[in-house]
Amino acid sequence: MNFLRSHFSVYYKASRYFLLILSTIILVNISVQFFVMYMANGSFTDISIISVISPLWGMLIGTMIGFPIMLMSSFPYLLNFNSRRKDILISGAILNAIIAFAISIIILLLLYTFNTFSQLLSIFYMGVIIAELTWKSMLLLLWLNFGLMFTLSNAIYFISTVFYRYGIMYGLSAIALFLSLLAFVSPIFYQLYIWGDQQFLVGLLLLIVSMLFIYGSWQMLSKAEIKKSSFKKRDILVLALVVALLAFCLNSGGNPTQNNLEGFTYGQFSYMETESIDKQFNVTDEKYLYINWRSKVDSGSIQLQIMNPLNEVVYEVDGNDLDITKIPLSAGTWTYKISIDDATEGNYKLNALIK
Amino acid sequence: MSIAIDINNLTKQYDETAAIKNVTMSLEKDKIYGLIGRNGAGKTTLLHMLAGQSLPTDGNITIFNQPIYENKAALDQICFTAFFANPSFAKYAISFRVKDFINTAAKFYPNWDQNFANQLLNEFGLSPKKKFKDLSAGMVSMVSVVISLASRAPITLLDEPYTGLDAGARHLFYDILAEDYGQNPRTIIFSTHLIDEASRLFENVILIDQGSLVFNLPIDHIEAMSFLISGPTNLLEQIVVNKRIVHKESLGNNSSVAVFDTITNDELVSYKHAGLNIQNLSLQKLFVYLTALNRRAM
Repeated sequence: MNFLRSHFSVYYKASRYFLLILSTIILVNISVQFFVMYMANGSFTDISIISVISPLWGMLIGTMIGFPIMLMSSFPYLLNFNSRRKDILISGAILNAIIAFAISIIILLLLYTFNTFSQLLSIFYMGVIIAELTWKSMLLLLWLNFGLMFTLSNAIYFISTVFYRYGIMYGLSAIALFLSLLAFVSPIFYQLYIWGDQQFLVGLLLLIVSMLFIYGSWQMLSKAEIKKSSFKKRDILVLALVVALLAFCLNSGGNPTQNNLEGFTYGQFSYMETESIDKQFNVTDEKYLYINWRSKVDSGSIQLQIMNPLNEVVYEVDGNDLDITKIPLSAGTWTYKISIDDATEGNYKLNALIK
Repeated sequence: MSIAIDINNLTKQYDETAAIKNVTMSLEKDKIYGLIGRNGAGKTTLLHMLAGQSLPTDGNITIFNQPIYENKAALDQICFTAFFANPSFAKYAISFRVKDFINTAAKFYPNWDQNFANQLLNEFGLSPKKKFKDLSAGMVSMVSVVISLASRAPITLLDEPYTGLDAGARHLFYDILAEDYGQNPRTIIFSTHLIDEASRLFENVILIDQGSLVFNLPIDHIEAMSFLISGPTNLLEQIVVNKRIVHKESLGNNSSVAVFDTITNDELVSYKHAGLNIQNLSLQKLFVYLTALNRRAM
C-alpha cells in the first residue's frame, strides 16, 4: 500500500489551493452568519440550524463534486510516474471515502451543536428527530450521510473518468444519465429526508450504488491513456439521445410524494386567541398516513387531531411536541384538525403523506 | 545479449489512422538507442506504449520478459516523463514548484538518487523553489531531464528532451548523459530531431516512418552502409546499379547518389579507381533521404 502515500501527496499538491479556497469560504460564511445573527438577536440561542447548514451544505457538496474532479485530473500525472490504473482508482476511492466520512462527521457535529444551542422548533433530518439524538440515531445519520456523500463523490469521479476517456460529449451524456437517475430516485430520497425509516437499508443501497460507480470508473480507467480523448462530431448524437432520455425522466419520473392531502402546513405567531384549521382528504383504499409534527407554545395550547371517516379521533398530539408516526387508513373521508387556544409564542409544522 | 524490451507485432490505431503499424523488434539491455523519425512518425506513441501510458491496439510489449500492462514490477523499471510536454499539464501543475516534481518523483521511482537530482539541479542552475508557471520551456525540459536521469530507471525513455534548451545546455545534457551512462549503464531510448548532434551518444538507431519500423541497427553498421558517391552520371549508373540508392541528384553530366547498402572494401577500391568520389553519408541526411523515399513509395 506504499502507493497510497505517494498518490495522496500528489492529490494534496494538486488540490491544496482548492482546499484553501473552500475552507476560507466556509469559515467566512459561518463567521458572517454567526456575526449577523448575534447582532440581530444579541445571543446565539435563536440561530436557525437550517439557515446555517444550508450554505454549508452547498460548500460541502461543492467539495464532494470538486474533489473527485481534482482526483481525476491527477490521473495523467500519476500514470506518468508509472502508477497502475487500478492503484489510481483505489487511492481515489479511498480518498473519496475519507472525505465523505469527514464531511458526514462535520454535518453530524453541526446538527448536534446547533440543536443544543438553538431554541427554535426542532427539526427532522433524514427522518431523525434532532432534538432526540441518541447514539443509535447519530450512527444512522452518519451511516446515511456517508452513503450519500460517498455515492455522490463516486458518481462525480465516474463522470470525470468518462470525460477523460471518451471526451466532452460522452462526459456530458454521463452527466445527463446521472441526472436522469436522480430524477427517478430523488422523490424516494425526499421521502427519506422527511420521513426517515429504513435508513440502514438505504445507506446499504447507497454503498452498493457507490460500488457500481467504482466498477464503472474501473471500466473507464482500465483502458484510459495518458492522452485525453478528443472531440468527435458524431458524439453529439449520443448526447442528443441521452438528453432526450433525461427529458423523458424529468417528465415522467416517479413522484411518490403525490397525495391528496396537503403535504405541508406551518404557522408561527406571537399570540392567537382561538384558531382551528380543518382539512379533509379522501382515501380510496387502504393506505398509510405518514405524519411528522412539531409544535411549541410558551402558554396556551396547540393540538393536532386526525379523525377517521366515522369522525373518531385516531391520533392526537398537543403542547410542545414532536412526532413521526404512521397511521393506517381505511377508505372514506378523513380529517386533520389543528386547534390553537389562547397560545403565545407558538410555532408548528406539519408534514403529511399518504402512500 | 540480454533483452530489455521485446516488442511483437505492435499496432496502435487512432480511429482511421494507424500511428504504429505492426512493429516488431528487440532492444538490448544497457544500450543507448536513438529513436528517429519525422514529425508524426509515431515516435512519441511508441514511447508512451513502452511506458504503459498508452495501450496497444494489437501486439504486445514485454520488459525484461514481463508484460507491462498493470504490472508494477515491469513499470518500476521504466521512467518516461512525457507529461511535461502535455499541453494540459500547465493548468494541472499551476501550483507546483520544481521541488514538488522532484519530491513526487522521489516517491515513485524505487532507484531514485536524490543526491544526483540535487547535483543536476545545480548544474542546470534550476532553483527547487521556482514555480512551474515561471519556468521557460527549456527549464521544463531540464526538470524532465533531472527526473529521468535521477530516477536511475533501468529503462529510461527520453522524448526530445532538449526542447527549448540552448546549445550550451544541450551539450551539458549530452555530457551528463554520457558520463552517467558510463557509471550507471541502462537502456536509454532517446527520440530526437537533432540527429547529428545527438548521434555521438547512440549505440543503435531505430528509424520509424509513418508508423512502420524502417530499421533498428547498430550505428556502426549504419555508418558502414551509408555512402555519398559522386561522379560522371553514366559511370555512376553503371557501377552502382545493384546498390540500394536512397537519393539521387544530378547537375549537368555529374551526379551524386546516396547509397544505403553494403559495399565491400574491394568495391570501394574499384569505385575509386573508376574515378568516383566516395564520402560518408551523415545520419541526418540518411534519415532525410530514407523517409522521403518511403513517402514517394507510398
